[in-house]
Amino acid sequence: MLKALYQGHRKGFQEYDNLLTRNTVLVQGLCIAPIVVAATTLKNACLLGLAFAVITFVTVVLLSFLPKKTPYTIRAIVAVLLACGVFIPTSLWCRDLFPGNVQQVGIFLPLLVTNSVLVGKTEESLLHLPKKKMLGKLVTYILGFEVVILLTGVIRELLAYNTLWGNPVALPFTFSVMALPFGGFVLLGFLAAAVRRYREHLNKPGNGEEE
Amino acid sequence: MDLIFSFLGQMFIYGLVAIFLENSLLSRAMGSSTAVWLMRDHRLLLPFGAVLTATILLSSIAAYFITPWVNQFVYSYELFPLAYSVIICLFYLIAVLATSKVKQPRKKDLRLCIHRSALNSVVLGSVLLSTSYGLDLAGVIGFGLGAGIGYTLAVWLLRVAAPRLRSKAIPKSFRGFPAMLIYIGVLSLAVYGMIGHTVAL
Repeated sequence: MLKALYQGHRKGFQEYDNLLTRNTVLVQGLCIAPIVVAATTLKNACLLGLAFAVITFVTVVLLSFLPKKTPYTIRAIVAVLLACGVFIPTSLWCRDLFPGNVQQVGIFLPLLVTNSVLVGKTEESLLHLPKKKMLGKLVTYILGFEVVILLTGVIRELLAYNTLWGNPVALPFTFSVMALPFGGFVLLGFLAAAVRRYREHLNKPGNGEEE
Repeated sequence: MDLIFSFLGQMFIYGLVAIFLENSLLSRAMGSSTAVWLMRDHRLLLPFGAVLTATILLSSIAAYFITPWVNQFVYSYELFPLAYSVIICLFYLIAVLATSKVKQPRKKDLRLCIHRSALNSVVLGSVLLSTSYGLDLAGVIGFGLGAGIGYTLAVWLLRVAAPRLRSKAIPKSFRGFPAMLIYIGVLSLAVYGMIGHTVAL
């Protein structure tokens, strides 16, 4: 069914589907660092996902009010400084919601102010769009990141610590290497390959019902 | 004289730490999306590395001097990104203005390198790391230099492997980006091994 929908609306998917067929992280290669290094547990993933969503959404919306004629250099500077301003209340909020986890994610929480969706994609493919379309596309960029970081957090916490949200889960094995950046890179590599395989399947002729 | 040698020695050690043990890309995955971009346009690798290293070095030195002032605030953790970003943006602006008299086509490439390197997570990340470790000035300079050089070396390693990672010997689904992620993972494990894990017996 998704295949038929994809083949009927291929252009729309290519433009707006940052969730699956053009995923923010797994296809476009954006915002990899927090996922690889800091998303080792579901709590850390939720913390980073929430902070990313708030910082990116609020900053891009505020940035869209800048006059279109503003030079690129000034826009880029304003984007980063606005993100730093949004980071202050976001970080305080995250401290309340996830006490202790802010220390665990270390520099990767403040590093969200220079995330590549904000610094690169906003300029490249968001700010020139009409506001409604921009907001729609921005939400898909954010959702694409959220899906991957949450999935990575769940898999890595289960495999590396045999827990989920801090609660023990009985598994017959422990892959402690999954908590290292190595585990993050390899897992992202496999997920990226899976998404590519699925995209190839969607691109194949036929409506998919016979498969 | 001893003071100078001690300063240079410390700088060298922290430089090596930043290049090999705390490599921005391989240990912390910072600047991964920029690495993907650099692999596509690899003729810019050296100028990009030079601009990146200079930005990290200058920003780290300036951050070293303002860190004690920011630390006085109760919410210093929340204020550090803003304080350091102001410094980085200032150097970014100066660099862009300084290239205004450079002739084309070099100007276009140089500007592209400045835009991509200055507001990159490698710069802010390296500044945040060097100040959070509480390094002295020699350490900050060494770490700043090492972070830029280390990142450039890591991207060069990726560039060398890029044709193989895109070759037909690799299954179609893994070819290119997925294979590159796994390759960086393997390199990062090698770097992790260098930190020093002793054998059991």
